[in-house]
This record gives sequence, C-alpha cells and structure tokens, in this order.
Amino acid sequence: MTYGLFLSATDKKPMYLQIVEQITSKVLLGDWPADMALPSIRELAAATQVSVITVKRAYAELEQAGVIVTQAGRGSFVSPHPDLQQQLKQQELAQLLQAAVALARQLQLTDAELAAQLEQQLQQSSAQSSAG
Amino acid sequence: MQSFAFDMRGIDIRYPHFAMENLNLALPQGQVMGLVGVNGAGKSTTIRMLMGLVKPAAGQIEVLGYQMPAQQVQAKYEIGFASDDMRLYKSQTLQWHMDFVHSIYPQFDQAYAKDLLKRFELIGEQKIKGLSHGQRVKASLLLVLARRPKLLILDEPTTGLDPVARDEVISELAEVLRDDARSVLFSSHNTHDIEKLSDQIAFLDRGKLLALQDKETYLDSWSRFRCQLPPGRQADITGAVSIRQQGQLAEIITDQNNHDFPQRLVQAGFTVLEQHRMSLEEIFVANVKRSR
Amino acid sequence: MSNIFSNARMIKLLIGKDWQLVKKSLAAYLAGGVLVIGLMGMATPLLFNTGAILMITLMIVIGARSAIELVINEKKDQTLAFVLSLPVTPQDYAWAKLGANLLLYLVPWLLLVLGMLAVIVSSPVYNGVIPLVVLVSVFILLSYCCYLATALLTYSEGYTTAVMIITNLLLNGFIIWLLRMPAIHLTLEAPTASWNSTSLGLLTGGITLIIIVLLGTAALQQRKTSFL
Repeated sequence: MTYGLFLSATDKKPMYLQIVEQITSKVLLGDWPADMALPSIRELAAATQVSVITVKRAYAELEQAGVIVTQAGRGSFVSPHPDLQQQLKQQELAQLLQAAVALARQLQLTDAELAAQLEQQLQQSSAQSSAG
Repeated sequence: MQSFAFDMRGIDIRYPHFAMENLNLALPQGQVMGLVGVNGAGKSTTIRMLMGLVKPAAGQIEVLGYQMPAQQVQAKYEIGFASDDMRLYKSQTLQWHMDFVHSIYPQFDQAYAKDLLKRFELIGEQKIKGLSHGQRVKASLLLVLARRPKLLILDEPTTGLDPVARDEVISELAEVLRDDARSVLFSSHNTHDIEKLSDQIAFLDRGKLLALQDKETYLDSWSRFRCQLPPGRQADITGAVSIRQQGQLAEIITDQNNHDFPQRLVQAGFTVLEQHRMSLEEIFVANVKRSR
Repeated sequence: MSNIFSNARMIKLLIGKDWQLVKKSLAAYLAGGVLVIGLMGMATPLLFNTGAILMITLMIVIGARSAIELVINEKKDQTLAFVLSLPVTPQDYAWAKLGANLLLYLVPWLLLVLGMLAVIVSSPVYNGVIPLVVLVSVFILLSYCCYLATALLTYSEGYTTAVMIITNLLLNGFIIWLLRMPAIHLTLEAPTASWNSTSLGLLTGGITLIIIVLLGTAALQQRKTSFL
C-alpha cells in the first residue's frame, strides 16, 4: 500500500514536491473525490517510506494551495470546494506562464516579442481547431 | 512541554586522539534522527554514551527520561540497540536468541517475531555461524524490533547489506513511523537512507556537531548554482560555502539559499545558468570540507 | 560493591545463558572425567599415574576453555555489544561473568575431585595419596582463578594465555616441590590419609589465596567505568 504514490529518489524534484504534485493530479483527475479522507501523515510516511516531516510539509503545501483541508483532530480531506479542479488548472496555467516569462527573460526577449509569440500560438491553435 | 527521546547537554569527553566538547544533541519523541559523519567523527561514541556504556567527563544525558548512565538498566528495557559490529552467539540458533531475549523482555512479541522471520527470509532453527553478513544484521534487527522499543538506536544498520536486504530493513524501519511514541536514532554513512527517513539530521565531524536541523529546512538551505561571469571577474559572494571557477564559468555552493540569493548573484553581475538542489551526500562533503 | 543484588534477575539470566553455551562441551569433559577416574580405579601404579596425568590435563583444559570461551571470546566474537545492550550495567555483567565462570568451573572441578577421592577410598590405592591429590587440585583451582581474573580484567587473549602458561609451568614445579617434602612423600603409601601441619598449612594457604584473588577481581571490576 503506497496509496498510489510513486516516489523516486532519483527524481530531481524533492520528495515533498513529488507528493504534492502526485496528490494534486489525483484530485485533478477525480481519482480522489471531494471530502475523501487522506491517510494520516504518519500512515502515509510509513507506507511510502518517507520521513514524517516530509509528508507534513507536503500536506502543508497542499493545504495552502487549497487542495486539501485539515481539521484539527480529524485529519485531512480533499477540499470540498466546487471549483477546485478549475482552480487547480488555473494555478497550473499561471505556473506555466510564469515559466515562459522566466525563459523569455533568459533569452533576453522584450515583453512585446514575448506577447507576439503568444499571439502567434493563439492564432495557430484556433486555426487548427477550426480546420479540425 | 516537549518530551525528548534523548537529551544530551554540555557533553565533554576526551580520548588520546579524539575529543568532544560541549556537545548538545536532543531528539524530540516520535521523530527519526539521522546521524551523519565519517568514520571517527564521534557517532559511535555518541551512541555508547546514550547506551550508558561510556560516561562523559562532563555533561548530562537523559534517555527516555532516565539519567544515564545511572539509570541505564531501566532505560535499556525500552531501548533497542543494534549495530553492524554486533554479533550473536555463533554456536546457537536464532530461535535460541529469540527465546533468550523473550526471557528478558516480557513485551517481546513472538507473533511479530515470526512475521519478521518470514519477511527477512530467516530460518529460526539455523545456527548463527551459518548466516551471511546480511542475514546476521537482519537477525539482530529482528531481536530488537520484535519488542517494539520506545527508542531504536541503530549504528550503521544498512552497512554492507545488498540492495534487497537494505530495502527490507528500511521498510521495517518505516513501520516504526506509524507510532508517534517511538523514536529512532540511526547512524549511517549511507546518506541516502538518512535522507529518506529522517526528520532531523545531525552532522558530526571530529567530535563537533556541524549541523542539527530538521531535514526539509536543511536540504532547502543548500543549493548549487552554475553561473557565468563577465570576462576577467573573480567570483566572490557572501554566503558561499565553496566557489570553483574556471574562466568565465563558476560553481557556487551556498548554505544560505533563499529567495534573494539568486537575485544577489544577478546583482553581483553573474548570470545564473542553472540552480540545483543538493543531495545530502553532496551537502555532507561540502560541509566537512568547509569545517576543516 | 553496591549493587550485586539490585539486578539479580538479569545476572541469573546471564549465568543461565553461559551455562547453555557451554553445557554440551562440559558434559563431554565430564564423561571423559568418568573414564579417567575409572582408569585410576584399576589401581595398578601405571594406570593410576596415567590417570592422574590425564586428570590434571582435564582440569586444566576445562578451566582454560571456560575462561576463553566465556570471557575472551565474548569480546573477540563481538557478542559483548549484544550483551551490554541488554538491561544490565557493565558491573552487573562483570558479576554475572564471575558467577558463571566460578559455577561452571567449580562444579565440574568438585565432581572430579570427589570422584577421584571416592575411587581412591574404595579401591586398593593407598589412601595416603589423598593430601597430594587434594593439594594439586587446589593448586589447579588457584591457577584457574588467576587466569580468570586476568581474562575478566583485561579481556586480552595474550595476557590470559601468558598467565595460563606460567601457572602450568608452576604446577610442575609445585608437584616436584611437594614430592620432595618429607611430610608429603613419606606418607604417600600409608593406608590412611595423613593430614599433618605441612599439608594442612598448604591447603589453608591455597584456599586463602583463591579468596584473595576473587575478592581482588571483584573489587577491581567495580572500579571500571568504560566498557567496549
């Protein structure tokens, strides 16, 4: 029983982030429905052979991101928020855009150049969908 | 009030070629501490003091609320100790050892012991002298785990084990995490095992504690940057643990990584090409090199 | 010597463990002892003397094996760390070792001595040899106590073996010395054991030395603070 989490020490991402991402995608996919009780921190730590403090940190980040809610004394649950999936996708989009901006800065593109490239992508995408 | 699995304060100890001065080390109950250090760093001395076998010249040691070494008998009923240089009686079987340990500790769980026998693929009736190193280590661990001690002290539990045996041992250690009343101290020079399971990391070198921190904060505070410098510039920045430079490229390691460290690099005129998290092993090496 | 009895349960368990470790070889030695005593009972001078030499050898071998197996090997085979991880203080451990060794040597020693005496008394062998037999046996016991003390205090195989060799050499000298004493050799062929002031004095001296060595060992062990 590892609760369907597949953690790897050779992954460049830190363990806590792997837990955050994998739980988030389970929630996004609806595998873990709203209000589902999450395993306790110690339980998940033992099951995935990761330290308690790492799981604690992952749960804290998940809670901050609104993916889960923690009730004192009762444990953690998948957030019942009706727009949760929408919200998570929004967050993902924001992160991707952020990464794009950072890359553009490294390439020393001007903001106008980046905007032009984005515009181009948008046009291509709508052209494809109207063609298909 | 927080209760400690163990609490060492102001420890002084002096041997002809080794000294420890004012060591302070404590492990909150329910946590796992990894003790990292090269051979001769003081790991074994620390563990022997916790077991009451060595008395420091000065300082206080409390284990599970018992004064050491004065109350070591009571304490040892609740401590489980195993080390890679510990051996069992060659002429006897593992079952004999299980019965002997059971006669000492009433809480020894025969059912759990049987379960462990199966999972560790050991045979109770086999004599110890016929066991491989890995089987011997697993046998010692079985004797300790089956009585569910409040504090597990493991000196190099995974040293010399093949990958499969190591995985078996690690997964049994992970089981201990389920119980928030149980604590673990384990020393290893396999930093990978420590990185995985520990809540706290204690770095020892030459009898000195280089660092004691919770693992997440600790791993986050270290980072390695690959930077490009303007031609002719000498790489230099405060907060760097090590700087290696060749031509315009430099590798900078810091233990003060936070949001503004990369910015400070940029302000200093460096172009950050890459930023990497560091493994505990890399941090360990960098840390020891700096302190020497 | 504050706490011999504070952890009596564990000391008993440790002694029981040592008994289990050596019981098989001890049984084999005692079986050998029965054979040797039988040989001595044949009461021909040749067989009696051969038996006596075998008996001396047996007593020395049992003692040496017990000290090596139970004390030196505990350190050499690294089982000491295992035992000291149990709920005992190093002092408890030392008491248990002293107790186990004495028990596991004294009992077979006593059986062998009593067996020899029984054979001598019930066979045509001159009872006059009894003081000699007893004095030599006590000397062997004293030697055992000396190298046991060395083993317990140093845990060194080298020192312990050295003391074993020295005491064995002294044993030869002791026997020759005894046989040259008129008080001993003149009564060897007497029909009854004749204890005179010389033999009684030697016996008391031997027993006193044994007690001094054991008490000294116990006292020195109490002062050790670091183990392993």
